[in-house]
Amino acid sequence: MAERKLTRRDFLRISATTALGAAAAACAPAAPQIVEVVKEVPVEKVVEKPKEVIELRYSFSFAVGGKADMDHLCEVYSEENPYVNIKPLYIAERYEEQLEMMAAAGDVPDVMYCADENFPYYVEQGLYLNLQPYVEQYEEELQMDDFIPITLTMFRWSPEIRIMGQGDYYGLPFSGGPILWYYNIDVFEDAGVEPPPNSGWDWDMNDFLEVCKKVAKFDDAGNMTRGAFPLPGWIYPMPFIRTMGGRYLTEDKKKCAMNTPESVSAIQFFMDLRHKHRVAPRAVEFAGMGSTDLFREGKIAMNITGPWWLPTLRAIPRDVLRFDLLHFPKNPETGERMVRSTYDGITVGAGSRYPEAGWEFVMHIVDPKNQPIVARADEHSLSCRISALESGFLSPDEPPEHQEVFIDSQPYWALQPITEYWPQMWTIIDKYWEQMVLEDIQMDVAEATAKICEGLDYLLEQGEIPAKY
Amino acid sequence: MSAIATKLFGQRALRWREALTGYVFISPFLVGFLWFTAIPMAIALYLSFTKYRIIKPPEWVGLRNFVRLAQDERIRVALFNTFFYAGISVPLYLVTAFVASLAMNLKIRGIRWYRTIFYLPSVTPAVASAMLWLWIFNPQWGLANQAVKLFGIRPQDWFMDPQLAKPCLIFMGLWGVGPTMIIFLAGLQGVPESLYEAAMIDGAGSWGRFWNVTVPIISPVIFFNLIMGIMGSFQVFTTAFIITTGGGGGARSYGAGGVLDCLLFYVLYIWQQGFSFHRMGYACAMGWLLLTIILVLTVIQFRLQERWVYYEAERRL
Repeated sequence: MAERKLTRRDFLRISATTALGAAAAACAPAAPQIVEVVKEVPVEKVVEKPKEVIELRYSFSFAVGGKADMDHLCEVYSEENPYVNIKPLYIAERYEEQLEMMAAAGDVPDVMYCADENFPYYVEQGLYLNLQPYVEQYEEELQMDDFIPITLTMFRWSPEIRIMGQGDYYGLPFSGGPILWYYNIDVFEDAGVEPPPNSGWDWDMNDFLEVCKKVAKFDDAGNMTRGAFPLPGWIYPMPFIRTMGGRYLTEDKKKCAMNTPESVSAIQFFMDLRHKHRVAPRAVEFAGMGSTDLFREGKIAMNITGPWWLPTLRAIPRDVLRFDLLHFPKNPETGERMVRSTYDGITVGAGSRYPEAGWEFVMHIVDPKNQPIVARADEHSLSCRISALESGFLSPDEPPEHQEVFIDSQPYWALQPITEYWPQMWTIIDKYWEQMVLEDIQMDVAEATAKICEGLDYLLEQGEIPAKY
Repeated sequence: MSAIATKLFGQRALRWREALTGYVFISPFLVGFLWFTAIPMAIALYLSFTKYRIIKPPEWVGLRNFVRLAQDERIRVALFNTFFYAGISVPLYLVTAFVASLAMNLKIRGIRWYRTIFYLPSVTPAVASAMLWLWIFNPQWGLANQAVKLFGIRPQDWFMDPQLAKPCLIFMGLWGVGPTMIIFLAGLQGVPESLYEAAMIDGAGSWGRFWNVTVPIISPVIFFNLIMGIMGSFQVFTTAFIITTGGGGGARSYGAGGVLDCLLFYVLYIWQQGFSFHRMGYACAMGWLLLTIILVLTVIQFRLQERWVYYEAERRL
């Protein structure tokens, strides 16, 4: 019999069959991990301790510098709990988008970092587990009294009431902070301005405006060469609006409140800082330079932001930049003030196969003894624990001198006006806000806020931006 | 009879085996096309009839997304911006690339280096390009304002000026004409010398040879670049995204579209709807609308090309 040679057709047939087989094998799902659960019954609680090691996936989004601290905490937990292997998933950028992609793939992490801004939305979408039963069961271990009260409200939600701070716990806070004034000491000295005493504990908006006018500088042509502070956007004007008596939404979060006389007056005050008093640079003045560069170079005297800016400023040599902190000024008439406070949190995925193990890890993260490490990992933010506030935040060997301003400002922290339509809210607000801010337009505040409220009211009622908007 | 049947079935089996061989050869493309294009398109079509927030399963809503498409004011803004951009950038781009290719077709010393230099910007990553042009158009210290000052023009706000933002973006796009220029160059180099010689014998000057020989012969290339240019310009996204949001997610994405939505292009709006507002179903409906628009424009171009595109191998009856 003649020997049959391997033809090209044969070769293709064999290759295609092999490739198809490999593809089919690759598409096969992984074998499920078999975990035998043994119940131990101590005095009060049922604690399920798996016999086999389980892998708990934990996603978080810190600055790169915080990854090592978080990895360390995960390793410590795994050493203390040999049956649980924590697998940290570090997502540096676009955390929520990637989380949604994981959710779409049915691959949600067991434990997740969550930000307060989009928290209600993800609760409504069923992404987070209702932790209320666990909070009630472990109330004593959690030491609930040791949490800064306002931080707990950021992770409570009820699909019926739809107001942040009311309803069940779907997460717990771990670190964050308020936004306050940083000021450049050299700029103040150059302008001959003394910072207000007690880090501005008693100063008001009139004092603040006077300081701004003194530090702002112009050339002979009238161009600003130094501004008091860059006019902030998005939610950052909130301290101005709330302190001067305005609000974004009504208490029940069902309607827009930006068109009330108080809100219009507060927003007008804010806009006057640029248009009338010329203490905040125009949109194109100092464009292209970030706030850090402007602050370092002395182009702006102050900037309003949170404790998370400290690592950036501390990296600048002290002979280049000297800075310190100031409280937010009060309303000159009422003596009240409010600043935006925002916290990051941690929660258990609703689809987690190991909710109890996930919960135990959550308790590990919010444990007061671990809080200093967590806060440091999260860009040196403030801990959610009263007992860990100072130990986790104050660094006597590092600037600024009055770091305690962040801690002392607690009495006037306020919640952001968060609803489950956060991104859409800002698209509506920004559309007319920038028309008020832009020098060439300077839309009338009453007219702009009326239009904003038209859009917001529709959004809050119907759940979507009006089509003709 | 049985011999005929054997021959018939044998031939059929042979044809089947030959076809199978062909399919195996093109299977890498077929698999990729099905998996990454056709199936996602079909899924997007289905999702366009649903309310889909990614995390929860899609919920059938029928034509609601398409009804909203017709009412959405911002879509009109996005379409206007996109048509404006395409209407100006495509002809400008083609002319610039064509002129560049004519220059690159010259037989001068170092022409290969010039071709490389002209092509290099197109291999620069889009994000790096956007950052570079943001610096050039910086209102404070950018090169653009330094240049206009030389002509006695006052400094402009460029990307921060709603009137100038789109022209700036169009101008930015011109520096990426390299690939189009290369395609034109290939076409130019395919024009037979004999035609030029015949034209010269007939008394045609430079312009006559260009208009009556060069342009008709490379008209298929012009047509190809026109179609690709239309498709590409309607999908403008990366640069506008970088300029208006800095490329980041979160709060920065809420301002996608720039000052007064002057840079809100259609695909950018699709992205905002899908990934900022979590309205994937609506974003899919928008995607199918875009497909329809580009398809209609392409069909129109194909109809019109019968009047001006000359195919050498074609015999017109």
